[in-house]
Amino acid sequence: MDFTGVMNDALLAVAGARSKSEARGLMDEETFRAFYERTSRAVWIYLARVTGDRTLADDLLQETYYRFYKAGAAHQDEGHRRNSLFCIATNIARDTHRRNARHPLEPLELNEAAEETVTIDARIAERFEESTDLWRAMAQLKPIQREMLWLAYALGSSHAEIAEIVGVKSGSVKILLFRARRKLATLLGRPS
Amino acid sequence: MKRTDCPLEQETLAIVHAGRWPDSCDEASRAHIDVCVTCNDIVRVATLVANDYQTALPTAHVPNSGLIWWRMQRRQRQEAVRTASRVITIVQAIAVAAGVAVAIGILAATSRAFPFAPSDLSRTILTQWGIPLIIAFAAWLALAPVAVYLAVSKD
Repeated sequence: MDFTGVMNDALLAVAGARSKSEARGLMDEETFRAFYERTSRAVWIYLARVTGDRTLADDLLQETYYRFYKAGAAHQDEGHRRNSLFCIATNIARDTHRRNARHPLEPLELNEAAEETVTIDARIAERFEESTDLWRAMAQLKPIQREMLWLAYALGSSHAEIAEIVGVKSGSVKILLFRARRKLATLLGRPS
Repeated sequence: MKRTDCPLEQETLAIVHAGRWPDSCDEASRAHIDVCVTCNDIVRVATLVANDYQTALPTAHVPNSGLIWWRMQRRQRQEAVRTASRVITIVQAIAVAAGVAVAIGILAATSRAFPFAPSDLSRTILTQWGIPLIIAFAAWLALAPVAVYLAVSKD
């Protein structure tokens, strides 16, 4: 074997040893898999709803768990661990949204029969596969509004948890949630 | 100031999360929800979102946990190899450049034909210490990448 080959093998052995030693702070396979089984569906639905894209949610789910695993952070309890996971998922979804926003498409007019036509990003409208009233309305909200509504009403997160996950002050959650809820209710229209 | 909350907000939300709306809700709460804009919005929005979540849960197809674990381990190994390879390449380039410079220096010091030969004293030192210098340099060439990797790599 040549010198370079020997050196590379030696260094990769060192890298492997370091990775193993650093891996002591990471979750073991059994713990990770149990945690994944408990949380993955909720995370996937959250990502699918916030981004409006099921295929994208598949990719983001893996990225979320990889970053969570690699962070190797110690958590006080299951709730704190879960919040960290959703915080990572939120940041990843936002990064994706920002990347997509750099290439905006022409606005699309929806609800033509209504007095006020509402324009939304065509990309988001297309992504929301479910053409239910809820998701047509959700598509017109800001990402942070979708995140907050989902966390509060689908996952039952407290205001403190929502603040931690979406990265706003705890005192601001109530008013932001109120505005998001009001806007969504308005978009859905008054019940008959 | 516009009112944005209601003292019964949490109770209303609890009714929705407990699945008591609309059929199992008591009359007092129902009467309040009918007249309170905030609670009315909460009931409407929370019911729709919670129902959507409950409908989506059984149909959510996520990859198997074993597959996710295996992919994470593979990716971690690939990243470690990539980091190590990058450091190796840089250190080897520096080592080769230094090696060529030292070899030229030794050649210049020991060769009388070389037009820029150093003084007699330097030549004597290099003649005596040439071999140990080469051995020391070879050892450095072998160990420097490891030392640099350990010093700079976080992964």
